[in-house]
Amino acid sequence: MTADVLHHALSLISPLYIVAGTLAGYLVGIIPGLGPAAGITLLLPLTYYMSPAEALIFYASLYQSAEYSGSITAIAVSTPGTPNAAATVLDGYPMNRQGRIGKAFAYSLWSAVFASLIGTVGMLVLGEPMARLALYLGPSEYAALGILGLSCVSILSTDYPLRGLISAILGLMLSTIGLDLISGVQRFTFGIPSLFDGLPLVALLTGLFALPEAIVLLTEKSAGFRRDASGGDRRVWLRWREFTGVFPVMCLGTGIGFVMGLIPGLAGSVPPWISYNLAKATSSEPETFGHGAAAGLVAPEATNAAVMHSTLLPAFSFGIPGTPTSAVILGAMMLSGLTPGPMLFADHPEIPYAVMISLFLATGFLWVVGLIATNVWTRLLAVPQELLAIAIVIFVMIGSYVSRSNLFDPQLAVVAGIVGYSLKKAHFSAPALVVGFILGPIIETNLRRALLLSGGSLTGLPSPVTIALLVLSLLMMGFGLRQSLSR
Amino acid sequence: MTEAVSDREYDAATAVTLTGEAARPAAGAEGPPVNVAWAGRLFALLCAGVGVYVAVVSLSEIRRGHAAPWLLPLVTGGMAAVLCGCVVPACSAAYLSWRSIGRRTLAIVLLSLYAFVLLPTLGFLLASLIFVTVVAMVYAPNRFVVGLGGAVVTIVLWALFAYVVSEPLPVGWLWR
Repeated sequence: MTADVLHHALSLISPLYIVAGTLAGYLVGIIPGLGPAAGITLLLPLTYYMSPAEALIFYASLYQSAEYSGSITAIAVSTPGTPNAAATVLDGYPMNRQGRIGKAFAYSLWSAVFASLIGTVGMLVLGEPMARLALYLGPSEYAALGILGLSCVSILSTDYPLRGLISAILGLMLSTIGLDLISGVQRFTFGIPSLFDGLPLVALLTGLFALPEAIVLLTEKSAGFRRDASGGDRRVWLRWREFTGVFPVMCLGTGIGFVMGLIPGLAGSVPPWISYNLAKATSSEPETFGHGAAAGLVAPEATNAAVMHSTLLPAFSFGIPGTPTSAVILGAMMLSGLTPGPMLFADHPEIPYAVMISLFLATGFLWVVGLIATNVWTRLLAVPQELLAIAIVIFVMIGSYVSRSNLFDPQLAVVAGIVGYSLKKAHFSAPALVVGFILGPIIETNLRRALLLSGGSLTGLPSPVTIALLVLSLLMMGFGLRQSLSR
Repeated sequence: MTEAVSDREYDAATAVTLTGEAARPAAGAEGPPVNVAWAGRLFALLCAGVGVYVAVVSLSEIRRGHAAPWLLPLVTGGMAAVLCGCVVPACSAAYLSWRSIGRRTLAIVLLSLYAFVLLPTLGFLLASLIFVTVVAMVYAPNRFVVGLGGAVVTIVLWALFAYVVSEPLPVGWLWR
């Protein structure tokens, strides 16, 4: 990063969006079932009222605080606000039951802040080299990398790999709707002008992610929505001795999270469990795990925070999203007119750096809000879940409408919502579908470019890197299919 | 002896679908349990049907000489058709109460009516207020709080977009 880029990046930092994003993230993370992907999707239409840098700063701050605040409900009422915070319940809730809720909040907050700082440093160090590496990839390698990313996400991020793979393929199929970018041929538009530009991203994402949650909130009673009546010491603070006592576990969790987040599909609910089990295996008091052990709370929390940062790295540098949330952030980048991938660092290096530097400030604000207001956030659980569902529906309707001022979009959002709800209930994967939809144009364009370069010959297409990536993808798909069919 | 089975217990039973181990809950006040595994099968079959359609259309376009733009749809359509076919026999038992099925279906119907009938006809404000009222009446235990809260959210957002952002929301053809 040159001084010029740094200067430009610093000028782009907007404290207002850092504050707004962090507060919105707290809100999104605390509400059980909503999660960062649905939360960002709901606020996606705001992209139209922000500059690209402001939008990315806002969504990255939101993502960071939503990943942390999922643990607040896990500790307070034993219901994780986000699926990734499930491991936090194991020791967080017992600490609460022992009258140490303030300490539990503090351990969780300190771990998230520490891992976020380290994760942001990792982003700063690795971002540009990864983008430079991506520049060496030709169209065929890029298409193969997209296929590998897609197969990893679809197979590894779900309990039902075959259904995950089908969902990703459906996403690829949906991405072909509209005018073909290269030849101008209409594909599956059925003569509807609103489909000429393809399926509208905001309507599709809000429908797939947010509306199914609204239907669930309306029709199923959630255990998470109950008043936090925990007693005991609620002061969110750690003594130096307490901090140093869990510091090695914090480092372990951060390391595991950062490395696993770099691999598409592995980020999500798996890394915190691996981290928890490793912390237990290496602990001198493994019998305390599950009964309010601080290390059992710190390890998954640090992992969650670190994962969030490293999942943004392949998204920014390669344009390959590893999680549904990073796919939505890539969608926001596209809406802002930015091209995710190595050209982002080449054409607008100040924007990714502004986001990374903003994450330092967002971490500081996350810490301050956590210290002051963690106990206040838990009161949100007293809001009737039906009211929340109504608010989500209204947001989706407005959000999908204002993006193009077209009534077709809210109607499409409802159709996407019904499809998303069916996917959820049939154990297919809406996130894999979205990643397929986002990666579709990248894979197709690069594949066709590669074919053009090779004169249309498939034999001239593969380089050793392409072959290796495709073989890995096939192995991944084969592994997933074998797992599914052997059930 | 019959044992009352709550929505949550039925929902827990639906968690098992692939392995076929879901036990059939006893009938209760909400009517006999219904095996809804066919819904998963139906969804997979629908996806397979869409895959076949996409593959057939793509193949006919390729035969007409437009190979490049239709290659990805052909491959994805074919893969979807084949893989969805693999899912079908793997589904097994999953139980829901009639009441639970009714609540879910009604939510989908209400959403569809809101987006496809009310919104284009009455415009955003009136359509949303009607939707909020109906949803509060049908689903919320504390109807007044939810109805009032929903109405406030609707009016505040409408006013925000109409007067602050200057991005008017749909008016509805009835008022044009």
